[in-house]
Formats: sequence, structure tokens, C-alpha cells
Amino acid sequence: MSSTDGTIGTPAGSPSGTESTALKQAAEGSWPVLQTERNWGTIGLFGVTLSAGIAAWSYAIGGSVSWYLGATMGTLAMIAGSLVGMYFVTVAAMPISVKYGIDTIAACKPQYGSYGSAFGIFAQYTSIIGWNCILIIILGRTTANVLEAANVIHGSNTKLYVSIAVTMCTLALIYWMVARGSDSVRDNSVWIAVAVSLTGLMVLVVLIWKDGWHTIASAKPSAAFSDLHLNYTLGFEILVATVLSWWPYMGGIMRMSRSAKQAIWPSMICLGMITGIIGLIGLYAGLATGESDPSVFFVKTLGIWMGIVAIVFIALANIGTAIVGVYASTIGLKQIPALQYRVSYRWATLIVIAPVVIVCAFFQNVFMAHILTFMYFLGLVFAPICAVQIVDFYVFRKHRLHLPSLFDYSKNGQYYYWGGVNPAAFIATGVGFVLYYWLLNPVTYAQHFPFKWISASVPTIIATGFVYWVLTKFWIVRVGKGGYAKA
Amino acid sequence: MAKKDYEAERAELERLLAERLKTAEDPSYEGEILTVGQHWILATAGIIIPLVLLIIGWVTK
Repeated sequence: MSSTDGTIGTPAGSPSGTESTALKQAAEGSWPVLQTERNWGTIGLFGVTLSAGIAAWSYAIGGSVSWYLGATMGTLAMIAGSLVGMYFVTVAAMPISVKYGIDTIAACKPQYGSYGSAFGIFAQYTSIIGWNCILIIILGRTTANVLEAANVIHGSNTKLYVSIAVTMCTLALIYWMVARGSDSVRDNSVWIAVAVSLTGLMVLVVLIWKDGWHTIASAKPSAAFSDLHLNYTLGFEILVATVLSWWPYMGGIMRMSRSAKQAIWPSMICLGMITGIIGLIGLYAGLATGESDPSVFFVKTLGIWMGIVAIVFIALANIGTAIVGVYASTIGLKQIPALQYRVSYRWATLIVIAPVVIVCAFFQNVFMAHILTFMYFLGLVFAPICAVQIVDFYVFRKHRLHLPSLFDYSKNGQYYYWGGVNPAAFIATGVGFVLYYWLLNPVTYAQHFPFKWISASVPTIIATGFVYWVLTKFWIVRVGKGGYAKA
Repeated sequence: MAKKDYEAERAELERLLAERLKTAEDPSYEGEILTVGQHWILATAGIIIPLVLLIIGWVTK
């Protein structure tokens, strides 16, 4: 690559506008963050990851597990699943971002190609939109349910309007916070993490105090199959699949870390395991009330006054998570060549938030009715991506990328492959999709026999990685594409 | 923004990006990746401990 070929991060196209100074672009955009600029530190990193990890989607996840498992097996399946899912995300995405200071999307260019990495952007964009919809809708609906329980509002239509109003206000606040940049993400996240942790602990204690551990421990799951082994694997898989969706968040957060060692525990504990632990509140509440919807079981369990406390907790947690998600997705969007220099950081933030606004305003109930389908699709999409990234970075590239090629969209770039796309990565990913879909259908929830023994995400990761290894070793490397010969 | 201004700013951004990439390519500017020992710790936390938890859950069901 040379700086004079006119192709460094700027494919041909007509300009329509541009924004910030280069320094701002580097700090908030897609360029590598240098060691000297990584200013989050250990406490900042723990704060950001903890704030992101403690989220109301965990209640929905735990509520879903309460369909299949009781308290003891559910607890162990959730913790185990969260650690396994986070292990693969951490190994795949974290070291690359830490080493080169790049975000997740730039980190997947060596595998999917300079233009093919748009697939990663699409996965990131849609998953973050989906999670943010869940977060914001839960907050809106919980608020409406508490107000209804307090006889402040009446009727389902009024409840819906209140919920919509709350979601719109929340999204406006999130936009305002994210638009201020990465320092805003860090600064807000630290105090949010502290408040959320304390409040979450209080909610858990009240839950156990009111219902009693014996009631929760002896409660039966509401929609379990007769096969306990299958239920156990389903509970485990829900956590693995959902935690895999941390993949898009990793780069935006971890590139601000100076070393992988510094980032291991924030990743494994604050993003991964905390999802399972906070999800336990959803599991226990779901078992105690028979309701898997957090916006319902919070009010049902805690009553009006504690329900108000729950709203505060959910608001803090969701805003903390959403600002990190929107920030990561905004940086991801800045990787799209057409947007990189033409759309401002604030407009990119708006593009991330706009679909959430539409869903929250018009499709709240439909979206929430298909939560589990969304969760399983996360496993279907992100398990293959992690597999491809792991095999590529560790086996073929030996921990080394060609940094200039990450920003070179011309044929001269090492990651151009054919037309900017690496077919090996897409074929392997496609095989992963099919395998996951066969093992566990995200739409119908139908499983095929091996599922209960091997789950879906883990074998998908292994199979995808193997296919990618074969295709790369015997095809891509031999034809001299992908810069492997120079790795 | 006029096309002329855009081209000028784009050229300036490309120059700064090239400078940044040159700096970032220096190994001393790279973040530290995981050592073999840290990979083992990670595998213990992400594979072995979950496996033990699943076995405990199944045995004590």
C-alpha cells in the first residue's frame, strides 16, 4: 500500500460531505488507536465492561431458561454457558483488537476480505439493534406496568403509549451521551456500573427474601420437555448463543486496553459471566412467578414500590449497555467505505439508533414475542464468525496482521482476495449456518438428535473452523491470496 | 461541503492515516497479546470450569 494511490480507506465515489479533524477520526473512528492513546486503564475497562454486562437482556435470557430448567441446574447451565460463549469471543476478537488498537470490524477484514467485512458490519449492526430494542422496550414496558399497577394509567393502549414515550425519551438520552464520544462512554459507564451493581444486588436479595429460596429452588420450569438432558442442553445453549453476541462489542471496548492480560478478566467476568449471574435473577423470578417476561415478573414479584426501584435499576443498566453498544456499532459503521468520510460521527450514531426508534415506536409487541428466535440466531451467526477468526489469526497468520492492508481497498491490499471478498470465509461460515440450523432451528426450536449431547454453538465453531482451515490451506494459500505467504 | 474542500480534507486524512499506520506498525506501539500461560488460564476459565459445573449440575440433579 502506498499513501499516494488514493485508495487508503477511501474507495472511489462521489463526495457529499465530510466531518471531523483527523485526530477526532482517529479517536472516535476506525483508525488504529495507539498505545499512548489507550487511556481507559484497568478501572475504566472494568467499569465499561461491567456496565455493558449488567443489562436487562440478562433477565430475558434467564426468563427463557426458566422455561426449561429449575433453579439448581439452571444456575449451573447458565454460568457454564456464559463462560463457554465468552471464551470463544475472547479468544477470537480480543487479542487482535488489543494488539493493533482496531475495532471488531477492521479485525475481520483479514478473514472476510476488505469489502467482505461488510458482513461483519451487518452482523454487528443488526445484533446491536436487536439487543438495544430489547433493552429499551423492557424499560418502557416495565415503567408502564408499574404505572398500571399503581392505578396511574389504565388500559392496554395507554400502557403501550406510555411505553413508547419512555423508549423515545431513553433513546434521545442515549444519543446525547454517545454523540459526545469515547470519553463520554467511559466516564458515564464507571458510575453507572457502581450504581447498577449495588441496585442489582438489592433486587436479588429482595427476590429471595420475599419468595424464599425454597420456593424458588423447588419451582418447576414452565415449558420443559420430558427429557431433562435436552432441557439442560437448551438452557446451556441459550447462554452460549447470547453471550457469543458480545463479539461486535469486543473491539470497540478492548482496543482501548494496553494489553490482553489486562483485558482477560473484564471480558470473561464482566461481559461473560455477569450475563449469566444477572440472568439468574430472571431465572429465579421466572420460576417463582411462571412469567418469563422481565417487564411482568418484576412488577409481579416486587410490587409497586420495589417495582419503581426496578425501573431505576433497569434504566441505569440499559442505558449503560446501550451507549456501549451504540458506540461500538457507530465505529463499525465508520468502517463502511461509503460512510467513512462522508457521514459524521453524530450522523453515524443516528443511523445506529434510528431502527431502534422505529421498532420501539411501531413493533414493540411483535419483537418481544420472538425474543428466543433472536437469541438463537445470534448463535447461528456469531459462532461461525468466531471460528473463522480464531483459525485465521492463530493458525495461519501466527498473531500478525498487515496493518496497512486493513485500510487498503485496492487490489494491492493483502486482504482484497477476489473483488474484496474471501470466498473461503463465506463458504465456511455458510456451512456453520447450515449446521447450526440443522442442530437447533432458531425459528421452530426443533432439534436433531446430536444436539442434546453436543449443543449447537460449540460443534458449529469446531466444524466451521475445520472447513475454513481446509479451504484456506488447500486453496487460498496455494493461489497466493490473503497475504498468507507473507504472514 | 464543496467537492474541492472534500478532496483536500480527504487527502489530508489519507496522509494522517498513512502516518498513523506507519507508527502503529512499529511493534513497540502494539498492545501485548496473550502468552501461552494466559491462554491456559483462559481455557481453564472458559472450558474446564464450565465442564466441571455442568457435570456437578447433572450429578446433583
